[in-house]
Amino acid sequence: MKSTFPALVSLVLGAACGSNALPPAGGQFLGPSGLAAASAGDRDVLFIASAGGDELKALSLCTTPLLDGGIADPASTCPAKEDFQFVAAPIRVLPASIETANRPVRVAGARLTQTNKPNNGAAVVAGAESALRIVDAKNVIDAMNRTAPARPVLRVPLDAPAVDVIAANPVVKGRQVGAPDVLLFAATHRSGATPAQLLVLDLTTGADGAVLAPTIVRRCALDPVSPRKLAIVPGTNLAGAVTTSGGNDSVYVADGAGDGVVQIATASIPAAGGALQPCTIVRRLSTGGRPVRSLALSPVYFRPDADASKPPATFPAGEFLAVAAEDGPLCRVDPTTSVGCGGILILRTSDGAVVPNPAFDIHDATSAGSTPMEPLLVPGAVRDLDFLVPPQPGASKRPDGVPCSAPCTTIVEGQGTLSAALQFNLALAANSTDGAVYFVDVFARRFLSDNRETNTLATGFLPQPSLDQGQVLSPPALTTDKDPVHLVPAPKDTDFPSHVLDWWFTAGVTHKGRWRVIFHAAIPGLERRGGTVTLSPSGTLLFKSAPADLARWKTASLLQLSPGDFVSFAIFTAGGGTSGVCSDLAGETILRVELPIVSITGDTIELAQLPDTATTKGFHPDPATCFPFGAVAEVRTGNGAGGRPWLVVEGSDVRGRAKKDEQFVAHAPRFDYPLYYTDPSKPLEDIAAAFTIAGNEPTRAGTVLSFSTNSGQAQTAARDSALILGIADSIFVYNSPKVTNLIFDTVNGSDAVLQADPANLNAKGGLLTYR
Amino acid sequence: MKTTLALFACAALGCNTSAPKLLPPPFGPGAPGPNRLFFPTGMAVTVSGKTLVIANGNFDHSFDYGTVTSVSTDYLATVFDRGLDCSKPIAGTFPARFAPGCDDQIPQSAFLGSVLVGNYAGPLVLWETATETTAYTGSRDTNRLHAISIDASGALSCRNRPGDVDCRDGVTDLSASATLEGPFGLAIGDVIRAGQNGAPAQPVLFIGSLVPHIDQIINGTAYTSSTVAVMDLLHPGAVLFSMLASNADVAGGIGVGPIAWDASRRQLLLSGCYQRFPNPSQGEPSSGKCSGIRSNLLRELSPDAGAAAGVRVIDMASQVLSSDTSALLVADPDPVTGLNRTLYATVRNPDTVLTVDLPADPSTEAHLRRVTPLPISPGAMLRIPRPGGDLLAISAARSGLVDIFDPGQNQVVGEIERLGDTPYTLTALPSPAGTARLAVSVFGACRIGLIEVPLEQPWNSVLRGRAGTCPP
Repeated sequence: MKSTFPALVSLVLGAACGSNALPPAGGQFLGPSGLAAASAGDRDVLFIASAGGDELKALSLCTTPLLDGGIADPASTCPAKEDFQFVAAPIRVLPASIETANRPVRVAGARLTQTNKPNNGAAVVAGAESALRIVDAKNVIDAMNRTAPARPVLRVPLDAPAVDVIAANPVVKGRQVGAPDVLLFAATHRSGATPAQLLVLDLTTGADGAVLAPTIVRRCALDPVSPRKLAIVPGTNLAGAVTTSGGNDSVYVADGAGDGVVQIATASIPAAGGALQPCTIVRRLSTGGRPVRSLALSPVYFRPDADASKPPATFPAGEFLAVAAEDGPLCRVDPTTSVGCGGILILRTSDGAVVPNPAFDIHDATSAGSTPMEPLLVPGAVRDLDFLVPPQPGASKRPDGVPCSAPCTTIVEGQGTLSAALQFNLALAANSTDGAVYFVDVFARRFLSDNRETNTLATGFLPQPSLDQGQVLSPPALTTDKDPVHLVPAPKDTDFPSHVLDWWFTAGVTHKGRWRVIFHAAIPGLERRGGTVTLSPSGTLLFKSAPADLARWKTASLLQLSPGDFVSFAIFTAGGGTSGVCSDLAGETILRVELPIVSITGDTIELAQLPDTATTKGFHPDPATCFPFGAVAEVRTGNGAGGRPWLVVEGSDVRGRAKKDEQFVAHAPRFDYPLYYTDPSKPLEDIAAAFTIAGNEPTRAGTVLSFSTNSGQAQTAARDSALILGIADSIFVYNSPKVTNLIFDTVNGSDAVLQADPANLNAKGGLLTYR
Repeated sequence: MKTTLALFACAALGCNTSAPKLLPPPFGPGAPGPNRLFFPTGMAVTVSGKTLVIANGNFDHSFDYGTVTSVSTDYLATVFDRGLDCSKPIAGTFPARFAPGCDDQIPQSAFLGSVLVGNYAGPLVLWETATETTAYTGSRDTNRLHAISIDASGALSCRNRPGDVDCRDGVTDLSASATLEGPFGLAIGDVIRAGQNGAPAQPVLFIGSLVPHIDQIINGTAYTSSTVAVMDLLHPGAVLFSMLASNADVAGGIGVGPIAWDASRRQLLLSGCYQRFPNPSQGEPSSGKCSGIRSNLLRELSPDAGAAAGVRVIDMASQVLSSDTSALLVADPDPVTGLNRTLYATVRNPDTVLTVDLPADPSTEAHLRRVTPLPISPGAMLRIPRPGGDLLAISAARSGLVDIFDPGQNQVVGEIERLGDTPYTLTALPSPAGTARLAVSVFGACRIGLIEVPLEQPWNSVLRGRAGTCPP
């Protein structure tokens, strides 16, 4: 038989080496992190930092719009076969690896114009070395096409590694364009006695069109700010020189150690070359003590005029600042609120305030009786965010082909047939540790919800939380018990926005979760404590336990360990040098009795002894033979905390203590706002559930009434369910003449990059994953 | 037929001949020879700073036993003092070659002592008093806990038989004394047992069980449990009690990987997931990392409750997707309450370091504060004290490197590459002011990597040398 092997080899080699080779199938990422787009002649290049591989990967993006019918413009020199394909390596079946330095994590994309030359651009890279690396974007394409040799990656030494770097590209009609010179902003780590610095660099091209190493033109010391990320108002500092016009001359620095964001006037940054001087901080935009991980400033947006005959009003870029805040020192000081806890917050740059809750107009001053919005929480933890760029009214079309008037930012909500493309004035995309991208309607200050379409538009019902599984009593009540203990839901009362549902479930507060209402529950952290029991002069028992900080349980507002609660002993041992356990204790059954707590002082719990009754043996060890003795105690809720023997737990978090025939209202941190919330006269309460315990109380400690809830909020998300490892890192909203608001999301833990078109989330190709 | 009988006889003879013992370096093989590292795992440095103690795991079974060996830190200091940068090959060399002195064998004069132990030794911890220094490590093939005395010169001998270097029998058989199989995680702590309030806290060694114990097999399903043994450090070998870390009802009966002692809360933190795989047709059930799981359990135990301690379980996967924890480190004590506020955990799938808040309020559970992506397979962590904020050194096994993570910046600020196959544990060596000198055991390459970290400029961290090679 004639072998076909040589022919196959030839075919494969030919395919690999020929000029018509298929582009590389994937990016082969190792820990993708930062990403940014830069101009590269007839196209843009999306640079993706592959942190684990110490390299960049590059995705080629043609920018010439398609003609009607989706036909490629024959005038475009960017081949369609290279569009949305990775720049190939010399062995063309592999993606090009642009080696930078250790762990590149942040990338800025600069766009440069040149007289009588094609546009160029650069990727400016920050990583775990005290330098910036600069990659000539056009040369990457030229090298791939073998029309020019690959240029070495440039290096700009710094005093310390850069935390972040951004490029101040001009913006025209919502799209970044080039300039002969582009300013870069970079922030560095503290280095020994040298504080963290804010640097301004000037990037340009040489006479041959090649990108030159940028020069540091300004710098200042950021102390005490610990920089995390930088942002500028889109479109400012247009021409390579620091501008002072229009108030759009600032750089905003996310403070990862302090409170919020600081604004620094670019013109105030001293020229480089002299001694390092402190940055002049215009103001600090407080986030309530929360450090900030990431930030973004709003682009130009448009709102329809009340008079439909008038054109939409145009609002300047930089009006709003969105931040991904981390937990501050106040978080969980009160576990029932979101005070000090991280999430997505929106601030106004005009007055530096967190915008009010959505019952008020986003422009209303907080002093007008409103309260600031609470942070919006994505599932997992928020990582990065960016605004979608509102298309120009009249200059663009909606996906359905209708000419667009404001609002024009299109996002598809819902699934399958119960979905719709909706338009928003201003929208935000945020990614999460779960790897998905979520969307925020900025003016409504809430997440977009797939249930909105399912419930509201299709059925008329609002997306509301509900009971998932009804209450279950464990162990079940005896059949002789005609009125076993049960929960009576708090009845709805439509006069109050937080009481509109039975159980007072509240949209945006009630999670999907399992609730347990436990009778005589073991108190968290005191389920098993070793100690020594002695007899006090007054005849009470003194249980001295380690650690000596029982005050933590006394002062915990939701636990309130206090006199009247119980201690039950699990094990008895010899104590204080005695040789054995006395006969009273040797015959004792573990966890049989509950001794009431009389007092709690330091590390000691004073307990009453139990006398015998006619039917039950008490607990009163023989003073002569039993003391001192060792014991392992289980501390339980009893009649302490105002006689509240029930502990209410949601998941693993305590929600409070309850008693029979008293309404219990469980407050919890808010994670979203309801779909309709417009009456400022009726403030929202953050109630997760409310009920009353009724019926005959059980006799057995540990009896549990349980139920589970659904949040009813299905946040609209762009996610690839195959990327199960999640950990999104950076998000980048890309616009060009060809595409609008294309979102790129690096999913670090899954070694993938997600590409999402929010206007076509449910359409084929609307969601792609590069690996 | 005759041939078959002859073959059968030969085979029977072959099976019944006792093979000669293949002793590891420096005891063998055959005759005593030069000392070597072979699959080094746990390491620790004595308080005096003079001696680095290393457990050799013998994971490929080249020999019949493992060893614990000691190396002079004075020798290691000479490697640092060469000032080499061994991460960078000599320009133009392919395959890469490095500067002379980067890859020296450890000279025999630098080895201070060796003892025989069992195989598959994992972590190693030291306990020092004014009069003695003892190293502890467990052997997973024999379930023995080994206690090795280290004298002032760095010489090693069995803790229970001074002068003897054959410590294979250990100080206790944990499978018998604590129903504990596959000893792995170790932590030094103390207990105040019930009835002993007022007495000094009793110093103890906590020993985790990597291999769950099979309680019963029903219809091919193994019902397992795992324990943590608590051994009296004043009486090595005396197991005071053992605590249940999991059973069929709690934490699914899984074994325990890394453990950490939070002295401020008097809590033992357990992580990892290991399970038994019953195979009805092939003898002893195997064990290994849990597969196909969507949880990552952090378990808490209060050892002061003794054997009655109840395990509290928190699923960290509910906060960040991860299925395996490689290391735990408690840190950041509150200046007022003294309570540790932070737990660092390196986790796999995805590969990250988690910064977890340990709340002072007992009504809320530990919750995730930050996530920082790391290179592939992050493992051991080492705290590097530094004025103005500690650093963490984190080994990345499959990437062959060590990262320097700055928790204050929430960022990897330095990366030391070219350590070799599978960097494992890290330990701090005596260091000049302003720097931290680290040793990292490089498991697959049978060496230790020597890293110098400038405290104020950790991005300039340098690999100063790779000492040792695998035995021929």
